Amino acid sequence: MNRKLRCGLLLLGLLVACATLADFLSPYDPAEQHREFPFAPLTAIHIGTAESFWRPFVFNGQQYPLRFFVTGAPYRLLGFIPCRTHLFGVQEPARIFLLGSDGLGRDVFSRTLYGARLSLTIAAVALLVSIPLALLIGTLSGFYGGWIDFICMRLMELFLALPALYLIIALRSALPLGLEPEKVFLAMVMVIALFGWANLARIVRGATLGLREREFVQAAIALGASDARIIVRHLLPNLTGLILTQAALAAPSYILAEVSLSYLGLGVPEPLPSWGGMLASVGGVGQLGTYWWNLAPGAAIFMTTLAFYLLAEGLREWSDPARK
Amino acid sequence: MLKAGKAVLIFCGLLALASAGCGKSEDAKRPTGANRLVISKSAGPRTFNRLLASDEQTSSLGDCLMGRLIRINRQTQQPEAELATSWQISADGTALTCELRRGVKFSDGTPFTADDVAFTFQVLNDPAIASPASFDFDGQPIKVEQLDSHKIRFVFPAPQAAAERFLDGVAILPKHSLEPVYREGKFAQAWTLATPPEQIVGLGPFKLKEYVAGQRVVLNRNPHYWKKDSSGNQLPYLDELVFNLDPDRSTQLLKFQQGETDLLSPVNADDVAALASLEQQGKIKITDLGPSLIREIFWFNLNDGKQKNGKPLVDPMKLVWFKDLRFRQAVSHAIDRNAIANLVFSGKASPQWSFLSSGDKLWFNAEVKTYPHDLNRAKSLLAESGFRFKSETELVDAKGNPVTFTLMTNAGNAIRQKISAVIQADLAKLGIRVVLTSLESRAMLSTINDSLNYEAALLAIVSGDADPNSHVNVLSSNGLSHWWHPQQSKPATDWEARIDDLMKRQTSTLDSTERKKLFGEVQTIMAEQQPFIFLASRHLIVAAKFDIQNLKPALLPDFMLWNCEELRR
Amino acid sequence: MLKLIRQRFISLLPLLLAVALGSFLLVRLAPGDFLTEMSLNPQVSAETLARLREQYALDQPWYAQFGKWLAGIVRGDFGYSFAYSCPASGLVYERLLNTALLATTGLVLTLSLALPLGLLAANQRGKAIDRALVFLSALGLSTPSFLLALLAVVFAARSGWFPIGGVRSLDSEQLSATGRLADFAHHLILPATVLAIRQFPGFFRQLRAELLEILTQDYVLAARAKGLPERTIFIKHAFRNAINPLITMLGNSIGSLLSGAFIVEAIMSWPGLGSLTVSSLLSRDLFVLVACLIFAALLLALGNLLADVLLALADPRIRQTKRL
Repeated sequence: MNRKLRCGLLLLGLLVACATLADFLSPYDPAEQHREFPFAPLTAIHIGTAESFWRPFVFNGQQYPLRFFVTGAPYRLLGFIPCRTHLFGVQEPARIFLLGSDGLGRDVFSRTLYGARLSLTIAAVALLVSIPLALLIGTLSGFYGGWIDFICMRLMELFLALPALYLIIALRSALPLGLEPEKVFLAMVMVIALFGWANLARIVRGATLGLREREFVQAAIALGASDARIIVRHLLPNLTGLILTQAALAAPSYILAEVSLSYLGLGVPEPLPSWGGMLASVGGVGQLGTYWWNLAPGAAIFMTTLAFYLLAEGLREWSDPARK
Repeated sequence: MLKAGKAVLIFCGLLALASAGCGKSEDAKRPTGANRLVISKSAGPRTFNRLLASDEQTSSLGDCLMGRLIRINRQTQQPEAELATSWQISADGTALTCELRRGVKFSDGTPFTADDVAFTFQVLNDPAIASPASFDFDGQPIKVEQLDSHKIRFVFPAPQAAAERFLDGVAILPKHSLEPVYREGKFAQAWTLATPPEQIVGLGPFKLKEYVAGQRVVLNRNPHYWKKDSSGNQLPYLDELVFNLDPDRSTQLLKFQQGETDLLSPVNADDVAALASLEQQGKIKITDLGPSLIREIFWFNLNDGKQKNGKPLVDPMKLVWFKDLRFRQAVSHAIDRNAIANLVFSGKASPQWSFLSSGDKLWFNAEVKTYPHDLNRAKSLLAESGFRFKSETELVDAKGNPVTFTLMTNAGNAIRQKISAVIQADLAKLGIRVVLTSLESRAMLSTINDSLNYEAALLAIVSGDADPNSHVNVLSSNGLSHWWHPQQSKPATDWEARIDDLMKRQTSTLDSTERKKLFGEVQTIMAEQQPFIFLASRHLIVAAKFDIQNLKPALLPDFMLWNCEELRR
Repeated sequence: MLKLIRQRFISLLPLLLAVALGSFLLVRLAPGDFLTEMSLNPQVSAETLARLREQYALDQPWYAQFGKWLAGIVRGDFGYSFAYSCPASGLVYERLLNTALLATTGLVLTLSLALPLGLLAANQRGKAIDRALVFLSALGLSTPSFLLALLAVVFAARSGWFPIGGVRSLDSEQLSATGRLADFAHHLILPATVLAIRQFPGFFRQLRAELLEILTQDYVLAARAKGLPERTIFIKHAFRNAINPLITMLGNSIGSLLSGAFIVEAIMSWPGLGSLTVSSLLSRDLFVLVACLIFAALLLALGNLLADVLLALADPRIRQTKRL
């Protein structure tokens, strides 16, 4: 294992851990509105109370020490263990907003953690659907050429010419109104994924066209290897690098697709927090500078992008030991 | 690398060109001097034919280009003479006679006569044109009688209160230039955005100079405009009026901050803070006009009909709750309207309990029932109706069904998203679970107007005019926008029947004190019954550069430009 | 090659037909129609609405309307815009030029950044400059376009170097021909840069990854062993071979620039095809939407054709097999 792979795994693992343990790590319920604290800036944490020199506290008229493993809003840990313990918190009426609060007084830190669930799911599901589809159609059409290629390419063009956004607008109106927000979200991910393959497939096809004429593939054909064998043994391994790079590029773009949807108001409905919805709600330039902490999910997206990049790079190097 | 090199070259070329542009654009900014007003609009007009579109942009541009017989003074909310020098309503209230101004010319120099008014109404009443500006009174069109070259009479099928107000929306068309087109049956395609500017002829203070697709509309002074100021100077004062098309409000704000545009209306509540320093420097003036005519409301679907597939429009179990007056009142009590005003509108909104906003100053009835935020009151109302708490967080009805509903709102509207989140949190405290969903606005409107299969909706109503007649569509039980239960063949409840009756009576009552009393009672009923749960009316805030004089910002659109002929700098 | 082009043009027909059919379905099956909004107007009676609906043929089933539209197409008539009561094709032409210019400039800018920087990063692999570039590309990849566009207009406003959105200055008509051109270029730079920042990471990373892979291949080692200068190896051997996927991406990005730029267009007041498409979809201006999507599909197909031709030109092996 090389360093990039280790870093990538670590970063992604951290993000996934944040997502799964969001309820425990976050001091507040992500939907809870602390209405006396709209657009609260980051809570300053001071060190050293009267009792202990090292004790961290927050100040709200008086000192409120930062407590660990406090009892707060009930939740189900990992989805099934009923629990009320949160990693940290302060006693009311003080509040702790590590990353400030939004316009309704909701804790940005808690929402960013919870948002990781949705946004990482989008990336994962969309990749799992689009990459295999793209590989299948891309290699087939590049390898066989002729009418298979022709039909596949026109199909891709159709998908690219009717962008997912338009379909989502139409689809959202067609879904039943009372549908749970989670299901609405799932439907959107599927559309994003179903439209994500076309771009990738074209790139795979382009690379396959080149590979097919290379000596080792020609040699395999001359030797009478079956098509399936050529594709699986000769083409796919040579496409690994390409696919990894493209997957690392695609993952953030799927997460960002949700930002664009939220910008149009068609993202994940309230009260589910998602990075896209949070970013889109920052709104105009009037608030951008004043309430900059609402851009926190942007940093999270950046970390995810970096994690996917490191992972892809690391995997490439790892899968090809000939290269250091 | 060769290709990349070329690309770099091209790019450098572009940069060089652009930097040349930089130098020039400085002095190119204002060659025609300061006598011009630039304003950002979020969308362009759809047509220059004011009678063919009813959207805000087309109307506000149309009002600068076209003249009207009577205009409603946006500030006093009262009618005032424009192309009609005087008007008279017959004693029985069925006829309106207008004396037309003499010596008035269209922007191409052709004189204006009663023929033009008659032609305008011929087009307006033509079913084939189906103008959205057309009027009918109980299904019958207005009769127009041309008494002489400068006198015209409108006859209504029944006595009509405030009849003169409808003339505000009727732009007078030039018969000489549009009649041939109309005769050919091509009126619908006349005066589109592609029409050469000089062909667009009007009686307004400005005429069209140019339209640059998707970018801007430039108007310049109409030399034949009839109005003069009190010291006899020809109006308008401004040479040019420029509408820039900036779809995004951030861009609008930035342009205004940089001084590229001269007016910003309306200013979003969140953006007021960003403008404060400019105001302190004396560069701009910000005016908060108080509660606007936009009222945020939410309501439950009270339709008891069936869908095409035979299923009821609303789950019968839920319809029982929704129709229960105490349930609606309890919900109304549970909502923290101050939180909406403070969190959603940064304090620039006023809580509201009944149909009118206090900005509707001639008609507002302050003596109505109010619903202050009071959870205990809400809980006791629910208990009276047989609802009970199964647990701390779950309300059930008398039969033990958990109380939950889906609240629908229009997508892409940050304000409604926030309000719906506040409602959701407030009702959670009553043990009511609210599922939120947002639909793109056409889809939502079609749901509340046509398919009717939803549970609750959050939207706003806006008054077109400060007169009870403009609310008939919403208030009468057969109205299209009687959203909680639209287009009823006969009133479903006694109180709706009472409102119908009051609305009919006020329409035919000529005495305004009596009308005010009747309409006051309508507001009392709406407050008591809460078919709409009124939330808040946002304040109308406008901003203008310091040197613009004669501004009379008002709550009726166009907030700033309605008296564009008087503006000067 | 000519055969390829001819064949493509013939195949365009079914694609365009499918796009038209798809967009008809999108609009007609989504709830609401163009007149829905008018029902909000208290003046508009139900009869007026019914009459208008008849006028616009919205009371007919979609296939009847589609048939009529097809018949019109044969005569070159794309139908009327409901909203603007003028021919839909006229509206689209106005926007097409703006979009094409913005997209091309954006692409040129992207390539002129990504190609040299990709080569540089691969050459300086693992060094500070490589890391910085990778970091920047991750930043570009994870910033939503609306945020990027907002930052760009804020930058324009604060620095005063660029106009805040728009295509031409107010008084550009009074400028000389070169002045007008310069004015236009001045307006073009910022939106094109925003698009380029969005596109850059994809090209940059793909090129870098591909180059790194190729640099370990035998023929590159052989060239090195021969003592060829590193510059020649990079450009003659590595770059020529790395360019295949880039060309395919180029074809794709033309399509995505057309459809995906609408947020940038809206924020930067650039009247392009993307914002017209979204607004016509939202207002259900049927024929305008169909025209928009058809033109977008045409450009997309042209982009792909261009990519395929370039692919054949760049790779003699693909060209020789005559499979294109």
